[in-house]
Amino acid sequence: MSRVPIDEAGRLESLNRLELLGSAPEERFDRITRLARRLMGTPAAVMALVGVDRVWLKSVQGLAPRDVLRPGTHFERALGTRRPYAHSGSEPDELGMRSFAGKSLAEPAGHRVGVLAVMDPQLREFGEDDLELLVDLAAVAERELGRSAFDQLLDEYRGHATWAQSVMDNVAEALVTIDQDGRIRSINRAGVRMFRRPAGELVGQTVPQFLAPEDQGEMDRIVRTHLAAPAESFSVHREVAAIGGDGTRFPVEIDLGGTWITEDETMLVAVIRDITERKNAEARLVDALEKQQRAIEDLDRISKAKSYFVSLVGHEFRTALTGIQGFSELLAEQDFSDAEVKEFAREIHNEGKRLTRMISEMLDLERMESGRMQLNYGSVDLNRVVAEVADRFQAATQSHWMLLELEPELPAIEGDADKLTQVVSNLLSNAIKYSPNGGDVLMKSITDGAEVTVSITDHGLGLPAEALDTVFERYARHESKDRESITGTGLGLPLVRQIVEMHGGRVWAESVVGKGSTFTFAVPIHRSSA
Amino acid sequence: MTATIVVADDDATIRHLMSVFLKTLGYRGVVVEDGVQALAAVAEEIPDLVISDVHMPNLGGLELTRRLREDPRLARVPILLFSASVSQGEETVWQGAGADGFIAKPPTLSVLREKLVRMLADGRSG
Repeated sequence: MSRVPIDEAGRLESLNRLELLGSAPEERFDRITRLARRLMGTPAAVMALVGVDRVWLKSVQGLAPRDVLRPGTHFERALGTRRPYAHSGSEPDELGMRSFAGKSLAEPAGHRVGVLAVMDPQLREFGEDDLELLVDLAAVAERELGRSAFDQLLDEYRGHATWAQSVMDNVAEALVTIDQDGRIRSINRAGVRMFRRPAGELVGQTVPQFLAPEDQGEMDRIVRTHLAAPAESFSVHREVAAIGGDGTRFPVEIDLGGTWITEDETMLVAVIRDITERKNAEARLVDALEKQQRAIEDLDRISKAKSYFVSLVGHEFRTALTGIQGFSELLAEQDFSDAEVKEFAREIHNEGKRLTRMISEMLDLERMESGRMQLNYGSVDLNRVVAEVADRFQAATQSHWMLLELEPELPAIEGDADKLTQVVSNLLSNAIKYSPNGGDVLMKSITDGAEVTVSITDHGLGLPAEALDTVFERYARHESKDRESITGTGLGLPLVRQIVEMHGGRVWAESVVGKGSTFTFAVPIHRSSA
Repeated sequence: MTATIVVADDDATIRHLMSVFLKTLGYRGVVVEDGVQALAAVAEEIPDLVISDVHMPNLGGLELTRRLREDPRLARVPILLFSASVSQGEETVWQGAGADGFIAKPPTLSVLREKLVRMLADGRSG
């Protein structure tokens, strides 16, 4: 009888995994022992599992089920060989049997874990035929043992699968597996929620199909490259735009990794995070920074404008004071003819008036801006205002020609005649001042029945587009090389805007550098009730 | 011999004042409105001194100074700039342009007299 050394540790491990030691009888094994008893014609048949020091009778026919100590038993001897084992003796064994035939049972890995045996309390011989039958029956029993092992594996696999699935479904990120063909093989619950599509619409498609058109090409390329050769530590990170099932676009970041799953099959795993919140926060931050930057720039501009205004006003005041101080000094120090004295006095008087005008302009603007000035409403014929202002300026210049194009049927408007005269004067004064080479100045009036529009067009230096908005701001006199010689307080246009806006109207400028400017204001015919 | 002084200023009142000032001080004043007219005046007759406002249309005082300095015949003519600007660093600007002196507006008769006498003396000797 050949005895094969047994890997006892491995054998016991397999036996434990089968979870049959100490287990209740099962029909699938009882069927085999019943068959064995009948076919072999023995009073008893047993399927036993051999543990460390005990033998567990898993299935018993013709015998009371009981626990048997292992050492020295026929079971132990039968377990020691792959071949059938038979014994007959006049002394009964621990089960009261004189004849024993057994065949060891191996589980699928090859470890012998038990014995199928038939027994008889009487002496009898087991022939070759009997043992062959026993081998056949043992083969059936081994298949059943194999099934136990398979069920065990299946349970284990199911456990792993459930565990893996619940991990996948409980992470916040979308987990997408991609097969060899670049198609989505699985997607977790977070992914379904993120893409706002049922899993069925996603599985079998490619990841780029659910990205914005501009991001599809690159992602497709990345997937293909890495499916072909997933490096051990490869990981790609991209921020792209995804398209949800409802058509909405949202920013995501994708981390893509891959691995070989068999020798020639690879799999990629994409972790996709919706970064809408982060992007929004970033955008808010950028927004806040830009706002702050603009506020700083505004402050800077205002502060520069103010210091410029101070030097400008200083210049204007000193110019006026030069005449006053100089002529009065002359009068005090020297004797002049009566005519000369009168002339000097007139100069002093005029310069004094000039100072007064500058001061009142500043105060007017201040009053209007702080809302402390009221308009003195009356009926105003803007054609007359334009004509009077034009006459006054025409009398003082020979280099400029005022051309009037007035709407004959212009309705009178409700407004403050003095203030509107100031508006036209300031605009015309600018037109003349900023066309140093002279030329025509066109003054037009029109109406659309709701408001009256007056425009003044010169052929002067003109203003660049970026200056058109700021030119009405206080102190914001536009500076350029060709203008540096032209002085002014920078208060004229802010005052114009204040007055026009107090009338419920608006004022704007159009200009072409080098060709000239048109300043236009429109005021409603009827003052609004507001 | 009465010194001839060209005065350029765009403000009519100041032109008037300067012509009276110069007459009172005993000089012959040639009064013009801007730098371009000043260049025309010096081309006609080389003056003993030029007084120019800094900010003027067409051609300002600094550019006028540069142009005058470029002309070898006029290089010795003293130039006095005057301005109502109160900004700092004015001095370096007029010195850089090549002017010989600067007075702030409003000038008093005595300051002007002193300045002119000294500059005319320097101009003749230099």
